[in-house]
Amino acid sequence: MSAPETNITPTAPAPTRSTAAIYDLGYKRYVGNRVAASARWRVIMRNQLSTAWKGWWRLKFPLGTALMISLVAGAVMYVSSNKLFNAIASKGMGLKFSDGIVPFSMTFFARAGFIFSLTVGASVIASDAQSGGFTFYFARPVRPIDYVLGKFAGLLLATSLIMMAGPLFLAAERLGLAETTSELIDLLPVLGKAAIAGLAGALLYAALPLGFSALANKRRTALALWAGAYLIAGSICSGIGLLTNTPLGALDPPTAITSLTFHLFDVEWKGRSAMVPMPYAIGAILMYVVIGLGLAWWRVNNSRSTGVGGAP
Amino acid sequence: MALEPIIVVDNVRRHFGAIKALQGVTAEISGKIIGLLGPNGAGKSTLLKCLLGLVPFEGRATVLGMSAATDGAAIRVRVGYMPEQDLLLPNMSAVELCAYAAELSGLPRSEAVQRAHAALYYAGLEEKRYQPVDTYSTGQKQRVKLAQALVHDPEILFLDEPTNGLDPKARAEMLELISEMPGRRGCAIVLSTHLLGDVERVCDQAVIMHRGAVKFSGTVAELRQTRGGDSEYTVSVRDNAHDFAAALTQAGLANEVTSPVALRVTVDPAIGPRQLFALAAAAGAQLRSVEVQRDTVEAAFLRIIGAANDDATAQANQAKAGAA
Amino acid sequence: MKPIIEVTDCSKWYGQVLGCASINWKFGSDERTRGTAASTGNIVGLLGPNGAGKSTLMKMIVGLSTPSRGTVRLFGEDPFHNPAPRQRLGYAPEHEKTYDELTALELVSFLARLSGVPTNQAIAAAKTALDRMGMSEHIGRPIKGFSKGMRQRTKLASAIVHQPDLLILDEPLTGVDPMARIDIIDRIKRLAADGTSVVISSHVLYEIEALTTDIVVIYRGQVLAEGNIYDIRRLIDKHPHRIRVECDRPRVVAAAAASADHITRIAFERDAVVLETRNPDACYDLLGQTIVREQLHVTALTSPDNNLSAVFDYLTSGGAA
Repeated sequence: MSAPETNITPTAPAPTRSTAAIYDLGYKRYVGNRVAASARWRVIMRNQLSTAWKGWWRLKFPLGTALMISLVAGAVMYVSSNKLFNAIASKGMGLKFSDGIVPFSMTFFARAGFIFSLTVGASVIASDAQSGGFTFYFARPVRPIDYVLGKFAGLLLATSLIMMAGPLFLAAERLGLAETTSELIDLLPVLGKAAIAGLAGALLYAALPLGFSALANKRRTALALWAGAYLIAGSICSGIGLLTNTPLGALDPPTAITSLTFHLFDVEWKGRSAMVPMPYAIGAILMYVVIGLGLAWWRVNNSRSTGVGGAP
Repeated sequence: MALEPIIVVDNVRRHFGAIKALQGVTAEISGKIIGLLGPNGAGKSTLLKCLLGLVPFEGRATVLGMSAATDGAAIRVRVGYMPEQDLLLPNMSAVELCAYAAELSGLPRSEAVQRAHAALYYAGLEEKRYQPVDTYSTGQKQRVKLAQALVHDPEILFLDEPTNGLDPKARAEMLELISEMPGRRGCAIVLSTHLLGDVERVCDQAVIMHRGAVKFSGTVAELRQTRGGDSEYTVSVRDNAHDFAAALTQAGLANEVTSPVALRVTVDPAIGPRQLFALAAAAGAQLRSVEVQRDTVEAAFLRIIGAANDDATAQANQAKAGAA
Repeated sequence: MKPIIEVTDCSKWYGQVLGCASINWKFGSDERTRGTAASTGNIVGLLGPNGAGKSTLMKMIVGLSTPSRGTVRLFGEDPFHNPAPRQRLGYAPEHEKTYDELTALELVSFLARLSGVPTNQAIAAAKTALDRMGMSEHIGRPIKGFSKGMRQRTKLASAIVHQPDLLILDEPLTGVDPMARIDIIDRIKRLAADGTSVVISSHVLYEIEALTTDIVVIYRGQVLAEGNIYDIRRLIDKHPHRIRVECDRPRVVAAAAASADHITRIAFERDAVVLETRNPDACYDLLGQTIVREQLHVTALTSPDNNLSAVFDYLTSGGAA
């Protein structure tokens, strides 16, 4: 059951050609290079991504949803290019579907992002705590920064696919629907705006769930906390903000993202809306990213010395 | 493997608030397979954590010449750890897990995959290695735990209760693997366990801890000193021990009957146990076993801890008397 | 005398998975004469590889599941959904999540009431049980803070609190440190001496050896062997007995042995010779004579495979005898 090992050296027969040999399969120590510690986070990032890719429901499902949204929105944009969007306007003038689809679709991409946070994001650290993964990571030469950075980077790559790819595709389609070259050139900033909005969303939906996953020792608890905070607390903030006309709605992640997108594209709702001013939206997003990463960092540092080794 | 110590601890102290987990641990550890023993709460796991560079402590500790206080990460490159509790990430196969472990320890990708397979062969996990670890039995999980500790080619392995949950056959196999490792893979092993029978079987050195301090550090042979200086023997006979006891007493040999077929005898050191056979032949008894009376590791352990407890009680009493 | 446990032609399968196959086993004798000098409980070790059917068998005896075929009788009655025989049984399973916030006394008295002890006697019974397990100082502390040894003792206390006639213990010494180990083994022996019969299941063979010489080996869903370890050893013909002689001139011993036809193998170690023989009795006689005649300086005479570990190994590596 252990590896076969033979220490027999073949004796060369008298004639010049030897017709048999036995090779020493015994253990050889590793004498090559070791990858530098600073590059370890990439290993964790790759692992996070490949774990998310397994199975149909972790990353593939929300990605599929995002794809569907892109296709539907793209079709709508194509079919109804000249009609006006009645609910929203831009700088006082009516907004055409073709211009409005890109910002409007962001609400839907945010939902796909939320689905991903439920299937993967909000259980990452809790799952490691539950299965003994912390012991696995920290008994090795992995530093807390490698762990947090690696997990975050892996999640960010996944959320970028979900929240940036779609909007960029729609922005490109908008450019493609331009009727004249000068219109095309005028519209180029749309690509940039779509990228920024998508990136903001990707950062938020990677960092904040990661932070929530650090709050519990069990996957289910972390997921419940995240879903509760996002759906319930978020809607409450948004509702109160709408009723009292205060920017409290910025604390609701999807509201913050949508507001940011709308402001980038100079779009307003006609009449009352839950949208919040740009500075509040940006502030909330940045705050959440910092909180999320901060919680992850704190939890991981804490666990290093207590979670490893010793009797349970 | 080494006559030089691989681990040196000098007055290491660690406390959480009022609890003193380690109170001045000093030892120089060398050898191939070292047993780390002690009651629960003696500080064994805390010591291992300190040596892996995971918790801060006062005092000095070096592992393979590197300081545990400052070079923890470098130590963990060269030390492998097989903990008592679970550490298997869900939804990964054994191969993926071991390759990931190797990569996290700095091995390049291709080397990591190769070594993962080699480590799993060594640990005895065959086709099951491609299935997710969640589906494994306890024995298989222990093997994966061992493989992930070895995969990055460590020079020392810390094993914490490696035979937990294994049935007798798997237990014997694990112990055999452990005893072969210094020769086969050139690594030393620190084995932390409550099963003193296992220690007797595989360890050549032992370190006994109690209440945060080291009470014994040396070879297992020293631990199991022969009592009565080589002239006390345990003997078992086929038939009636009392009859043989009478013959021994007549010959002037002190003896004591311990069971219907066994006795303890003190032989004349000048002649040795040979005389027992002559006496048995004369008395018509058949000897079935003759062995020098040696402390088992368990008996020695209890003696040392008992003495340590007595010391502690004496000190506490003194303190009370002093205060009164 | 009725046996305490009687398993007759018992098989259990879960769909395609076979747990037990036609097991026949009797254990203990049900005499209600506790406390007299005549009654000492027996201790039997229940051994077997993981997955061999030991736990399945235990579950059926304890009344947690029912056989697919055949019968299981505990104190003469069917234990499934039947509290009467189970009140004379104390069961300490391997894994147990307890209510950690309770104190030891609270937990044990709660379990006492569940086992049929009248409420007004429960606390006293719990205290006695915990005292018998050496836990009197800790009865008021919550279980959360207990070490593994203390938890195992509390578990045992809750198994004996209703003074059962039969104890079934599954791996009672896991994670327990060496001192507590010896203590618990001692207490189990005392319980047996007071009349309780004990079935103990463990993978750590030298612990079983410290408690008893009677074993039952379950292998591939069946009872492979039962009885006294040494008697079983004698029955394993396929594996000749090994006898090791450590002396100054091992080759002299070997020469004498070589001409005896009950000797099947002779091997040399440093300063020793290991003989394998089909007739250990004749071999010991031969050795005695040779040693005296040749005036050999013998430092040790041992039989490396006359222990539970070797017996178990011989039995389970591809069937016995």
